[in-house]
Amino acid sequence: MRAIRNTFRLLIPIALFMTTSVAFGSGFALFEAGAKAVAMGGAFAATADDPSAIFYNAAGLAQQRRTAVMFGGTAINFQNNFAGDASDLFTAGTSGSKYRAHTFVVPNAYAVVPFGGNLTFGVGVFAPFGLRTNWDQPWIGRYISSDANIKTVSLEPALAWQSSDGRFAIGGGPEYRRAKVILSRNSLAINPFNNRITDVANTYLASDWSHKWGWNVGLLVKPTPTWRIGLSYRAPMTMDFKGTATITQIPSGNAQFDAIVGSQLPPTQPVTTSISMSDFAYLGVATSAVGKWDIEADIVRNSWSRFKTLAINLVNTPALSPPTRVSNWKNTFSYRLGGNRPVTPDWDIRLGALYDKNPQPTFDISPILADSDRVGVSFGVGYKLGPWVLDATEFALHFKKRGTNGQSQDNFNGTYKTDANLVTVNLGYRF
Amino acid sequence: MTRIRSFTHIAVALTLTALVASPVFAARGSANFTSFVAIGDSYGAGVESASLNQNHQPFSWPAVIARQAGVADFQQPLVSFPGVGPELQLVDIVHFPPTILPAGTANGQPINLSLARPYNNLSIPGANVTDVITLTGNEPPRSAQDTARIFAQFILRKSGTEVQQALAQKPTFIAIWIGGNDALGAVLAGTPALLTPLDTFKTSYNAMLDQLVAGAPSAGMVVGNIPNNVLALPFLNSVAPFLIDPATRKPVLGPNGQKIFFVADLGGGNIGQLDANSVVLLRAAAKIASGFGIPSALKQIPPFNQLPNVGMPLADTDVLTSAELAVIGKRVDDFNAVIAQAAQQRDIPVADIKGLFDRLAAGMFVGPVFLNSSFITGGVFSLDGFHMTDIGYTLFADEYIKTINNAYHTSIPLAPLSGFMANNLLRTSSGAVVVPDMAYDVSEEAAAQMLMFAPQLRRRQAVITH
Repeated sequence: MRAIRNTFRLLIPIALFMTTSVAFGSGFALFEAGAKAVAMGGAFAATADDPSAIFYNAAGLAQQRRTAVMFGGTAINFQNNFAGDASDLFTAGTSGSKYRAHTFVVPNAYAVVPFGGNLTFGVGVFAPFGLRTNWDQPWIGRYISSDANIKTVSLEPALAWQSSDGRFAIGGGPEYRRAKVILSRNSLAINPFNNRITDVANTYLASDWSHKWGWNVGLLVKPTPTWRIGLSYRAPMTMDFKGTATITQIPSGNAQFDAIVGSQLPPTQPVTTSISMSDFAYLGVATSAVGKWDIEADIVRNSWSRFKTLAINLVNTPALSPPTRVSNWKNTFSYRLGGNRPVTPDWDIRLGALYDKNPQPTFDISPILADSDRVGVSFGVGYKLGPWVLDATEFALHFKKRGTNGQSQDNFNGTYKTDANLVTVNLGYRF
Repeated sequence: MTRIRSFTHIAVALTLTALVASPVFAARGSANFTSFVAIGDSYGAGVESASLNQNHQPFSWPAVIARQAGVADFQQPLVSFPGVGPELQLVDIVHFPPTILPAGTANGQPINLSLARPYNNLSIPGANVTDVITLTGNEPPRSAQDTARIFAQFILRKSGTEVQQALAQKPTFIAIWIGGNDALGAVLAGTPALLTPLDTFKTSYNAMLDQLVAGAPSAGMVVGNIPNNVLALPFLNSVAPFLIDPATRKPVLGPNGQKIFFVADLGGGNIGQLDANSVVLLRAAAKIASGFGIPSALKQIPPFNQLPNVGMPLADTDVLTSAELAVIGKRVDDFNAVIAQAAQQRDIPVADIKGLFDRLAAGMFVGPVFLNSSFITGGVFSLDGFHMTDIGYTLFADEYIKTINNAYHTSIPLAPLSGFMANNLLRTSSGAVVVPDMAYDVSEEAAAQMLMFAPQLRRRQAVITH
């Protein structure tokens, strides 16, 4: 019991500052929930042998027979560029626009406590989704989005049971998710006094923290001593947000024009929106029959077809709400392969690779999110020193170049290029 | 023999494939912009808001093409602000009707007269297709409205016609847009009688191209067709042919609940009411404000009894009837057929300016802005109602660039309208917005002073400088 109390003291302060805001899985899903899993390309559902199993496959908790805590995070840096479409009357010839330089951190924290011979309880805090596209200003796409920020944090207690022979395990639990959304963009108009395209107002939408309950369940089967099969499912959620749309007029320098604009701007007011977040369905197969390597291959499906629209509803002046944005995303699969090899009793090395399909149709590609298929390779190490466990991973992610091909629903055509570098570190302690 | 037959079959097949794959015609010359010249009229010169001045000349369509094509030394006959004539400026848009005033009473001055060679941009405001091959700048203007001869004096400088001065520069590429004034003169005058006769247009247009082809046989060339939808111009689409209540801006309805159409000279002294398909020219707005065109039956009815000219018909030159519009449209179609045939015979691609104007008349989004042919607020046409804005000329140039790229398989970048974004959210750290100075913006103080000097002047009569 003492161990449990200490564990929760550790988790609570971490949870207070844990929020996440960057997208590195398809759509705006995040898979960076633990350094070992990331090192194995995210192929971890059939391994799930550290506390991050709470995210990847809760059934894996059952095989963890020591009380343990683990915390850490993923630092993400990226390079991106938007280049206008040569045939687009607004963007042609423009290039060099990019996000503001920033290092994003996706944190995580877990605690695991076994009970008796077959049960293990765990609790984790992690971020299953996140998005941040904060463009360096002045940016020509600011009339669509200058900043889009979706933050999530999930608190998940999980309970897992395994058969006495350890060949079958099942786990699961509720997920309490909090989320917040921030969107900012400018409105532009032609100033008839100088015939220039002029910023006339900024709309800054900031929601309150929304929350919702979900659930997850997992299975882990070991049909032979060297083969494992993992299945897990995390339920989808549609989160409803309430907040405030702060509408600030931007003076043009011409009093008459500003007066006309001011008379047409909606007032700052309450706003509502909803965002659909996909499920996660993992199928993993792992084997230790290949030399000293433990190898796993996973297929992960995300039901992004749930994400059909993005509607911003101004509560006091509904007629002035922006048009509902049609997204019509598609379900996606990612393919993940990873391996772990002990090189000494204290050191492990890990390799991983992934191919992640994007869910976003071409017409929806925009400065809010320009998703694309991506390939990644990872390398990691694990080090044990007595009760301490340190895992570190370097993960390089390349997004395929994505162009709007003249189909942008925002009349904003061009090509987005992104590359990312992710460093994940986790520190664990086993009691 | 079998092998020979096979080779024969292959050769025939390849030949047929080559024939089928060949374009209808190859564009003449090449898209080499080492020596780029432009021939045109006020659109080519960059006239905006009834003025030719250096604030807008950099956005003339030839100048935009030159910039996008990387031409290093593209010379234009620049005129200092407020230009020739003084640029019209929007002073008051809050009240109805809007107040538009010239930026001063004196003309600006040519500031590039000492250039020791012809200008690359030889466009003459007011020039029609015949002027391009006849005016040299040595012709005395016949009146203050003889726009082409006035401008030719300091653009052509008595050194030859537009075509001759273009050829004198040994051009490697020639861009041409001419013919607008062969129709627009009639439109602005409100009578089809001023349309250039078709035979004259055909003879002059072909003569112009013949001279250019003979003088620069290896130069690349591009021409453009002419909009036939004159209603795309705010000069023709801004004033309804029926009575509008200035307070509500809705039609005034008669006792029968019908709109009250203006009375006008419908041609040849035939006085009658306009129909729904008639057009009242923008310049007639001031006359209507004093009562012209309002049927005499309203003469005793307030508030029309306050207007001195109720019962007086609008002049024939203030309106275009639907029959007159049809004549003008047909003539422009004929001009375009001449242009298309003349260009095809010489392997010259044709920019679809007519298509651009059709799209503008319908309205179109470019990035964040909706552009259309509305007066003042449409973003494309300037305050004289028929010349374009910097944005409009850029779209015009982009139409030419697209045509050049398609015909010559080049990749000259379009000029993006994002370049016209102003007030680029230049906020200080305290959140204050820094507004960039615009040299030709009207300050509130200046506008107020102008109103004090001319409180009754609501709109300067546009000097026709097309």
